[in-house]
Amino acid sequence: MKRVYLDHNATTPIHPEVKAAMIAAMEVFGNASSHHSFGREAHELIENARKTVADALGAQPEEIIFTSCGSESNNLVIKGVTCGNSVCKIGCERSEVIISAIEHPSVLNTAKCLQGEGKIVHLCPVNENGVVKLDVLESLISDKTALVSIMYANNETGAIQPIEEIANMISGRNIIFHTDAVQAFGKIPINVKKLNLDFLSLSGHKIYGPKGVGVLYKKKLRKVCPLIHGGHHEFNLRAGTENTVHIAGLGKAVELCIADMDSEWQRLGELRNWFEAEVVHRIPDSIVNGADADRMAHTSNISFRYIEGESILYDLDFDGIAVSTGSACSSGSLEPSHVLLAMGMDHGRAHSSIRFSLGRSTTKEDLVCTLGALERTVTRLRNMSPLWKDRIKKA
Amino acid sequence: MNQYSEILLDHFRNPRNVGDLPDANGVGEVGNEACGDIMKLYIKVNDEGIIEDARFETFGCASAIASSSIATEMIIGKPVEEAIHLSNKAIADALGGMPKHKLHCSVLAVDALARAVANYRGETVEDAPDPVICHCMGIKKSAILDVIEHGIDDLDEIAARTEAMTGACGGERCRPVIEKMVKDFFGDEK
Ligand SMILES: Cc1ncc(COP(=O)(O)O)c(C=O)c1O
Ligand code: FES
Repeated sequence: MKRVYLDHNATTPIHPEVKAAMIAAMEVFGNASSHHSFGREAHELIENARKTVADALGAQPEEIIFTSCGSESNNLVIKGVTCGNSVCKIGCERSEVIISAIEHPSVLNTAKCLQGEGKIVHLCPVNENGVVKLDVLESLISDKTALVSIMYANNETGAIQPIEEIANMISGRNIIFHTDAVQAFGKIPINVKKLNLDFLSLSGHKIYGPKGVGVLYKKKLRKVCPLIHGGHHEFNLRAGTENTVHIAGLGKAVELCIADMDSEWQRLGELRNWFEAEVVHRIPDSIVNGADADRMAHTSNISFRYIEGESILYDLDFDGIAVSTGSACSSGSLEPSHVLLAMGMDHGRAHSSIRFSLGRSTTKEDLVCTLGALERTVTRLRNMSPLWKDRIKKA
Repeated sequence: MNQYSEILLDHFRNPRNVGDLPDANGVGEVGNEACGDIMKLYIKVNDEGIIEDARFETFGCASAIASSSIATEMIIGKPVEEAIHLSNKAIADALGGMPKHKLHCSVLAVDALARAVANYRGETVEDAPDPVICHCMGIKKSAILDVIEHGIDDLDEIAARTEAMTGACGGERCRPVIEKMVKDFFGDEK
């Protein structure tokens, strides 16, 4: 059976050239801290990757900290600037942190953890398209604000957040600004200097690189307390002998995605828009969530009313089509996606949502195949649904 | 990660007895859209008190659909008096096991059946002798009372002994009810 992978926001396959770079890096076993030739070889691989990442962000190599994943990067900045014995004066002296209501759990739960340590955490609401409400954000910011952390693009809806506007709002107020760019980096141009960002997180496996490696960009004069104490690795900010293989893979992945970023954006945007138009045309009571936001070109979040998302996911999986859902039933919690609820969506619509995330390998043929399967699935499940029956009766 | 057994997936993919039953003499509906599942069960009971036929309509996840499907199979041909004792555990077992956070789907099927039978008998469910208190885990009132009557008033201890409040909702739904049961039993001084 031909399988179709439409879950690129969850993770992406490793690019063959990334794989080759990683295999080559496996031959380089030296410890990058060692002063002999073996060590120097490993050091060189890591520093090349650092330079590639720095160039891609418009940053300096010494502003790039390699971590074990996007989640670690988010933890490092949020805990690291606010921690009690923090080297970061602002984070220490000021008591409030602002994040958005639609952050990834690695930001949301880390911020919640700060509450236990006496910080006040504000959740900035979003509008019905899943975009942070700037006027509310403005009203939340005060001279007590230590850190503002707003994601660049949302993983469930693809909604791009007004990062530049937020940066301007914060500018000159000596507040630390972080963005989780795990879903945006490598897909849209991001320049940390132009945006005047203090911190930015990214992750290898969302950009056709390996899992288990990430980056925290840290602006030169900003300070952060490490999560993992130990040796002098990563400018004393992340101890542990560097993961040479993964870092080399990440470097290659960054190089590759920057190279065809514009053409992929164009191509995937056209495919996505065509797909959404077809879905809405062919499947009654399907609604694109966050449709009016400025969105990542490859992400589509659609509710299929009167049926439940997890059942759609499993039914499509029988046809070899891989998607994801914001329904509660997939995660085992009672509440459906906090992102969709934050957009003011009723529970029923949130429960019936499916995320399609396209990627490098996605073709029009894949989407044609998905549309056919989707029509069958939705019809089959609706024929079982008492809600659909009521809907038909009313019509 | 396939959290579901082959049997469960088969009942999801090829559900038995879907649809309504025009000559049903008992109908039970449970759940709501906000919680993500609704189950409607139709039964037709003959003069000898045997469930001749059953059908279901379900809005919900794969395991909710599979639970409804297998429940209809398990009650067709059974006397009502016997069918009413169908437990959520029997449903979960018949499906080849269910992940813990999905157990509430099997509970939903049992609830729907209780309501369908009550409807057939012309009763309302409030009269049901032993209602389910913890819907995530399928724990009935009697099981919880049994622990409370042994002098246990600590909610964590009740949870440890009965598994109530340990389901998908983390006790959000059943904890207040159990708290009240403890209060009612021990009085206010506790
Ligand atoms: C927005 C966002 N932030 C952070 C992460 C976490 O990245 P990682 O899986 O590398 O920890 C993800 C991945 O799911 C994400 O989508
Ligand atoms: S109802 Fe008891 S744990 Fe959810």
